[in-house]
Amino acid sequence: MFTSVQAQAPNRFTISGYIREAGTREALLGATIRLANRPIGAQTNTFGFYSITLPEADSVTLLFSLVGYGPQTRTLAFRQNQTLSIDLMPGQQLNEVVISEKRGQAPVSDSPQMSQIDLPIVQIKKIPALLGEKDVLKVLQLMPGVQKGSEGQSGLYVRGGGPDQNLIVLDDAVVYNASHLFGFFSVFNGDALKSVELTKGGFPARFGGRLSSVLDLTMKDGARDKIHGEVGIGLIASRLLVEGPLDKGKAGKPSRSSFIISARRTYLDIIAAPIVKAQTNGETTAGYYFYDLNAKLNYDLGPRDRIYVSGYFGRDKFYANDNTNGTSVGLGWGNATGTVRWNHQFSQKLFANTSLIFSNYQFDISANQLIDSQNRFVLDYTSGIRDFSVKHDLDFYPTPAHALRFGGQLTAHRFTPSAIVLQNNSLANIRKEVDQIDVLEGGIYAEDTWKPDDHWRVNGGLRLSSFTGAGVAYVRPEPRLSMGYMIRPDLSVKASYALMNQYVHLLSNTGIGLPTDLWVPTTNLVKPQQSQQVAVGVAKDFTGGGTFTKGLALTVEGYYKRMDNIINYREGASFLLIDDPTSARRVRWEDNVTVGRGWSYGAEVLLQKKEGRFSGWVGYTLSWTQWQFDELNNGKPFFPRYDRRHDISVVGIYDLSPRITLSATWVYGTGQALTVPTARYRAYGLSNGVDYTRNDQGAVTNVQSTLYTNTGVRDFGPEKNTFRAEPYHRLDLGVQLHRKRPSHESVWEFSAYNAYNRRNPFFYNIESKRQPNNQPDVTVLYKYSVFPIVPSVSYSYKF
Amino acid sequence: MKTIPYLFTLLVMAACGNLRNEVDPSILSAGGEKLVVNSYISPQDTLLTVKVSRSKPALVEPSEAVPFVVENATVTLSDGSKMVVFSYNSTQQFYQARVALMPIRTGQTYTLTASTPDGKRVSAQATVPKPIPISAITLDSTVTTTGSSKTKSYRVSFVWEDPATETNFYQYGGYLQWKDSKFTYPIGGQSEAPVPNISVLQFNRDRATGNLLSDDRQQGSLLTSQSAGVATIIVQKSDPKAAEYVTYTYPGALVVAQLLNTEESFYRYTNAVFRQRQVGNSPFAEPVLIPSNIVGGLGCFAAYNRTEKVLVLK
Repeated sequence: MFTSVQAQAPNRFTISGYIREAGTREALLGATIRLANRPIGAQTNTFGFYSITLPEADSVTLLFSLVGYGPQTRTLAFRQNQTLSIDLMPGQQLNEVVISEKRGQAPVSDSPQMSQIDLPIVQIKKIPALLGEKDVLKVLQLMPGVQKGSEGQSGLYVRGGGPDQNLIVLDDAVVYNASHLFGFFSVFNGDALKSVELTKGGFPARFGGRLSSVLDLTMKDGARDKIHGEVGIGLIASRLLVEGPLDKGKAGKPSRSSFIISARRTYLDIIAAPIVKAQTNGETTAGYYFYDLNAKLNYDLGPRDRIYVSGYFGRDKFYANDNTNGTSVGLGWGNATGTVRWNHQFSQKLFANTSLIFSNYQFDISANQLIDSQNRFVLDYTSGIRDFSVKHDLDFYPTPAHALRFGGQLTAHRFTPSAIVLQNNSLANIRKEVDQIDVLEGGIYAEDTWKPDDHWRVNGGLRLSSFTGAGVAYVRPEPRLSMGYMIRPDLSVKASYALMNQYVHLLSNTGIGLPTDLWVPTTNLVKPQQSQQVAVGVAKDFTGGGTFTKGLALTVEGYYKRMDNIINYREGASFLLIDDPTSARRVRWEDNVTVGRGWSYGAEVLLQKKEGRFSGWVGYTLSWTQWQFDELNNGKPFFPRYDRRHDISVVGIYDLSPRITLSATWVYGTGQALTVPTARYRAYGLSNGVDYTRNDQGAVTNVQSTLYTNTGVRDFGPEKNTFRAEPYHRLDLGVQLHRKRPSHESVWEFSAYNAYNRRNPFFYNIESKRQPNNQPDVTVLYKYSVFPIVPSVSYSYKF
Repeated sequence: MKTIPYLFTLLVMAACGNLRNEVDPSILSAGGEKLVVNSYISPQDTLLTVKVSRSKPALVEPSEAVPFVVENATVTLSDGSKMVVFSYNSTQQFYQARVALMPIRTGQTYTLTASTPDGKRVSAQATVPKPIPISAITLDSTVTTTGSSKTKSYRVSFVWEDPATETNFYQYGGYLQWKDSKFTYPIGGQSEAPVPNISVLQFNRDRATGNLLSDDRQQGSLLTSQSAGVATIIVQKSDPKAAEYVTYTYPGALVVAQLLNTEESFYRYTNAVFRQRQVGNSPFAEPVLIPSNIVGGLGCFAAYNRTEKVLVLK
């Protein structure tokens, strides 16, 4: 009998369920479920679902945990399939002693995934920000391997890639332009977000479409217990959030649905309006504002089905009206996204999600001018991109050693590089020029996270991406592999390879997130961009030690990335396609771009502590990025503007007491590589080919071939970007005063951006400077800065 | 739910200070003075000319005491077997040589040198491309009637076959020529003989490139110039029938279209100059570097071959 048991394979059973936040019942993603005695476990997916299959046992002890939440332990007899949903309590200072006994976060060493950053929203809210506006993208810029562009800009430069190479996804919908106010703020309102995860390399096969990074943002689902609200008042904007259940749950039977609405609007225009009016004697009204609106609702159709509907709508608007002559000019841009998702749990091991996605970005200029009492000139220019997508993903957990994901996505893009309507009623003339390009982009993938034993962690997969339209068709395989080897339970080495294709391109020659940045498709002239990246790294978790070392995680990574067919504007090309809308010949955007390649390599060190009274991180990046374009810099390689040799960031958050939180960040970065003139001279050119002289009567007497035209020009030296701007460094300080009551909570925040008031360079310009006593002007180099020390105060109230 | 009154706190900005600061010029690598040479040669030249000037550091007092133009240079042109030394024309401020001394031939490579007494010496080479004929000129007219007057506008454009096997760079232009017989004020009471008059055609700007064109991405196809306005005539109802014709206002009118098949160095240089001017002072635009084929100096020495086609207007 004993032998027969030995011969028989042990029965396996599955435990599955959801992990939620206690109270609000918000689904928690990325929570870990681990066996107490072995490094075997699982993580919840985007929807808070987990599944783990184990051999039959008299009892198993499972540990459920997530950063910022108190962990829970469950011991259960394990003789059949079980459903087990857990509600985790949001972490409290007092509980921390208890929490620290077991590791409260997913150890970085226990995953094959590398080059990934996930930011606890709680930390984002505690880090001081420019004008008190908490900004997810700016916090990401404080991470190694992620750099900012110019001062105050929210664009991300990930491992030598530009902001055009980041896939920014909000609830499955691509956000095409993530900036407000010319890049000084990002469109993401932290109040509405549940999680933020940035992948810089070692991309799993489920991600595709951009070369350098994937930023995955998930909106909160909304509390299910009761109505909650939050109001925030800052110097430039106010925020409002309301969430709660849609239906009243009963005792023991919680609500089946919830909603969340969150809004933000700036009020610069309201403050500025009387000033503008007074300064122009009421002749001009002008202003600028932006707003964001996030909304989401979800509904449980049954124990196995759930529907989510979420949307984002945001807009920037600049307007100027001249009241004396009826002339008005407007500039507006914004994104709109919408997602409908249906979760279906086929079995305890198979989870499916189907999404219908809409995304739209549009930029428009309108000018309306009264020519005389009866005639009016109207110009409407729009450009943008609109997507409809369908996406289907399956998560399959057959055994604890395998977690499979497979699925596909199909997107119909409609690009509108320019649509112009010109109307001049004196000529009774309406001209409409609409340029639309429809293309299809698709991807299917399969990946497996495989844990063959207690040491090896592998994520391997393949993505097949495709693109059809605009006269071209591509199907390209994209192999992906990430591997980790755990030397000890808290120490692992990792390596990864990923190939990425990008079929949509962003035309932007400024790198500062202007609304005119234009998305365009791959065409027969502009090929898909492609990158290949290898990365190696070490991940170490510190489990013991004192308050300061406990919970520390250290990652050290090195990477090499090669980018092919990247595009850049030709030298001097303009970023607007409409500088002359009346031009007889239509401009092809392809004629303004040039194709080249780039490579980037470097090392990143991150020492991070995600929770505790003292938390924060220290990051250091050493990197090199070079570009080579046949048509730029005479074909020689050069350092692009944002090549940065050294980049350091230090972020510290300290809860002095339950009522007072102190925070500080300090950043340092090598100066930008710029092109600055070294000399000036006259360029003599050949005129149209005709030269003639006239006699006294004005008649032509001599037609000859050449004439020199004379143009003053600047010599920038033999090579591009050889000038280095001064290094950038800055200290931000913040203090938050919390007032907690059982029914509500309020926070006062005082902060100072650029606390030691450094004049960091924004750009350099050569200008002539007036001299006293009628001396001739001199030419000098000026450094322009944007922000001196900027103190701010904000208040928020939550119930 | 309690209502909480909100508190607004006025912010007093810390002294902003100046956000524009002068930078010590030593952080810029000083570009020393260089010789700048500009010269364009073609088989159609009647006079060979070379412009020689100097560059000045960007950050030095723009003292015009030292002019840009260089008047004491020695300029030579050689075709490998013989050499001509240029003389200085102080009126036109260029160096010149008669074509008879150095004929410019298709396919031939020429070497230009310029040196100054202070020891600066630069050189450059140019090879004359072959001529490309203009295939056809098209004249279009549009008529707008308002009240009793009729406005006729003439526009011209032209086409040529781009050779398929080579990369070509073009500049194009043209002019309208007519015999002006009607002076508004006769001189000395004498009736003047008709004299030729000229108006240079203004072609629509090919985006950012002036009248420059490369066959990049359209190798071997039929290339078209932008169109240029030739003339606009306004005919009143009371005018004679003959006034309907362009030749009534412009007697003997003809359009001369010109096509220059240029070297790549010419295209790249001219294009860069144009684009740099267009970008202006914008600190956010990609700065435009101006390439140079002058060894040891700046500027451009290039050859081209010009063809013309005449359209007589009726």
